[in-house]
Amino acid sequence: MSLAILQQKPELFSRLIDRWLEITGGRLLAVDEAGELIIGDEAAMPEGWREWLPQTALDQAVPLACPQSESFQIAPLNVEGALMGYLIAAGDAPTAMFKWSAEALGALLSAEQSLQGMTDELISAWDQLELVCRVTQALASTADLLAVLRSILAEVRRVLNAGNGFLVLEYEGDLKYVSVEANTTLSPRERQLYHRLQRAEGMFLYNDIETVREFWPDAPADLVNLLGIHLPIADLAQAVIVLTHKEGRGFTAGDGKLLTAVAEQIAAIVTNTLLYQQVLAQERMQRELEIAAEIQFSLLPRGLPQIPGVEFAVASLPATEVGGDFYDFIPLDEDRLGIVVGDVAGKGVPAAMFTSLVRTILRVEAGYGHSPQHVVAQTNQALMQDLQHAEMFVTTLVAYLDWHDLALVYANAGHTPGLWWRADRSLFEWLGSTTPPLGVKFADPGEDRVLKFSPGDFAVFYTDGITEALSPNDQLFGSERLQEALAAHAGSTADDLVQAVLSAVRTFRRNASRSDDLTLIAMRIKPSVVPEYDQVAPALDAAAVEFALPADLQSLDTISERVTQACRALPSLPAASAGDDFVYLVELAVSEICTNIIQHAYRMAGGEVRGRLTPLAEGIQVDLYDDGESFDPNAVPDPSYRAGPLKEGGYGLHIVRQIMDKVVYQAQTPNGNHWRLVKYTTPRN
Amino acid sequence: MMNITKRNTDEKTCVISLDGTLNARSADQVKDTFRQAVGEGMRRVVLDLSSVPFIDSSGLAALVSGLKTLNEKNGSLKLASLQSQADLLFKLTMFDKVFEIFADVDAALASYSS
Repeated sequence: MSLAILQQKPELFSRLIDRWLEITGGRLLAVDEAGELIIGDEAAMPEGWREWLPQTALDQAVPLACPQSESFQIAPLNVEGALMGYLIAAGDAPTAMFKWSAEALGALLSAEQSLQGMTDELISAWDQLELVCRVTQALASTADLLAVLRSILAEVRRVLNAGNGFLVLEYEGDLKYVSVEANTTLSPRERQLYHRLQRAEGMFLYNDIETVREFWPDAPADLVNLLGIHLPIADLAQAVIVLTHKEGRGFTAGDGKLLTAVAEQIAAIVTNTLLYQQVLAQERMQRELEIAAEIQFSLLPRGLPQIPGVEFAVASLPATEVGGDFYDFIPLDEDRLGIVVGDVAGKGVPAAMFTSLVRTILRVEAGYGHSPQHVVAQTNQALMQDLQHAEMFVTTLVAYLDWHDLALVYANAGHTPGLWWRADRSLFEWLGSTTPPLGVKFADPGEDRVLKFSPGDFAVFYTDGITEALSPNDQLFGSERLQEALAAHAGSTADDLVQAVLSAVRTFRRNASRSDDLTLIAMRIKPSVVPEYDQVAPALDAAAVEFALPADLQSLDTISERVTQACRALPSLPAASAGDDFVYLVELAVSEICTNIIQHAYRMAGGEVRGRLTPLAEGIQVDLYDDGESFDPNAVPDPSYRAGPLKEGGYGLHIVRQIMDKVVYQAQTPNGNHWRLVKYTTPRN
Repeated sequence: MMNITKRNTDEKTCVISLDGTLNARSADQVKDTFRQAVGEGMRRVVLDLSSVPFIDSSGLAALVSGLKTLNEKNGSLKLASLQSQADLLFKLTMFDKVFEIFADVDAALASYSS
């Protein structure tokens, strides 16, 4: 250390020189201990002036022992308590003022030196802090963060020569304490200091015991200095750093600056870490929601029920990734189908978990063959405890459709009422509540409600996401708008009904965002139970021939004989070979279908093939029934005769379609799978 | 059941005559007959269908099977004496392009010597 600072930063001294000159008319010089001129104008001094410098260290300003008449004064320059050189004044000046000037310059130099003195050490310390900072960019856990803060604290304490210190991070109402010694906790007296610092923002530097005590009444007895800083960290957290027990003369302004800079660095680290943690948590939540949505989606029915004479259509749109709405189709027995729609009060993963649970229990209960009211009561009982614990409840409508009798039996546990459109009266009836929602209270099963559909009727089951859809000015879509939309499409298919409602809701809502799940099931009884394929050429008075034979290939010959007889009896049968061809082709078609029934519907395992041969005025109608497996006639590929290797099968249905005028297949009618083949004796278009 | 007779004209040539309905019920029997003939070394088979009043797609499948069996051994299957309804089916399904069809057995046999 030397007065070289004055050469590096002449502005520190030049101002004093100027003022001195202005006030006293004299000049100032600074020399080092050895008398070497550091700064100032040597010309102001008499020749040989160095010889008059004091031989021993001065501790106060004295006149320079100069033999000439001019007066010179010399004063020691103490920098941080050590003699570094002398200040010399040439010319008359009050000694007190000169003394003060020397002291002021000494203090200034001390301050400067303490800053400069730290520089080298600080640069290396800073490098380490920066390294620490980089390491912390991707800190994932609060535990890691605290470890890093501990190492920063240790580093700062070492650099600033502080005997003790601690750091408190307050995050989400939680106080995290970091001290130099690991595994200690915030003591009551440290807590007191923390709260004091917390109340005021910024930096606090105290180097005398009185001020320290005033600020921190419970300060340890040996504590005489304190450097503390409180920093809020964005909106996320706040931190307090305290250093104490600095050796020597206490904390300097430079220490304060360094700590401020370190505090900013800490704020950046903490912000990064906490934000990163938040993002991680959000991502985890997002992923959990996606998984829940996937599970929920996988639990929804895959397709729509295929029931003769009844159409179904469904729309189900969750408000968030996972919703509280659910629906289900449950095959009950040969001619009954269970239809379930429901809503768990609540959203997100917990609601989604309950929808899965409720669906499963309803399905199991329905599988026992209980009535809808019983199913609902049993499910309520099974879930009561869980639902009450979760403070949730479930509304659901459970209906069984008997498509043989077109009867619907239902129970409604506090769910939005279903709507039944009665085509013959052109009005709606409600399928209202029959019992409280699930999870509210134990209730005995009520009486099942039964209603009887007629052809052309339809019913819709839905969740309150439809009726409670909001317009931009917060109006409810409501039941009336729903009924209007449905009534306007009363003659349409189930699919059209669903689309009409969705479109009406969309129009009503305009740009308002959807806030609730939305589920809608439409079920329509086709207008005529007599399918259009029955409306063919009028039958003759001649009685139809019926047969019922074992599903065995041996029956093929018998069936062929019956077909031949029936065809030969047709009055409109053409003469000669044209008639023979007609008979053969009908026989061929029937043979193909019956072979299919025996080999594929029954898989050669027995059963019965039933048939009815109805003579028509200009042709013949063949109805064939079986109770084997249904199949999708559209799934049978059209075999190609010209391309590819020859196939040994699969031509049958293609041939039938080629040679018959009408080929209609309907799976699972009340009489079994039904084939209807018609061939006219005179070609038609 | 279908009646099936087989007449060898030389060590590699034979005439197989079917009598009855050619449908799913008789298809396997016919397929077996083809396999058997090939097993005996027959490579030229003429199928006499003069007594088959009815063929359906299962019957056609049996004939396709026979054709494949013989083709695998570089042999051939020729059909003869189709009744008019069987002929109708072949035209309908375009199998008349797949099989060589002759008016009678003699014409089919003669085609081998030419």
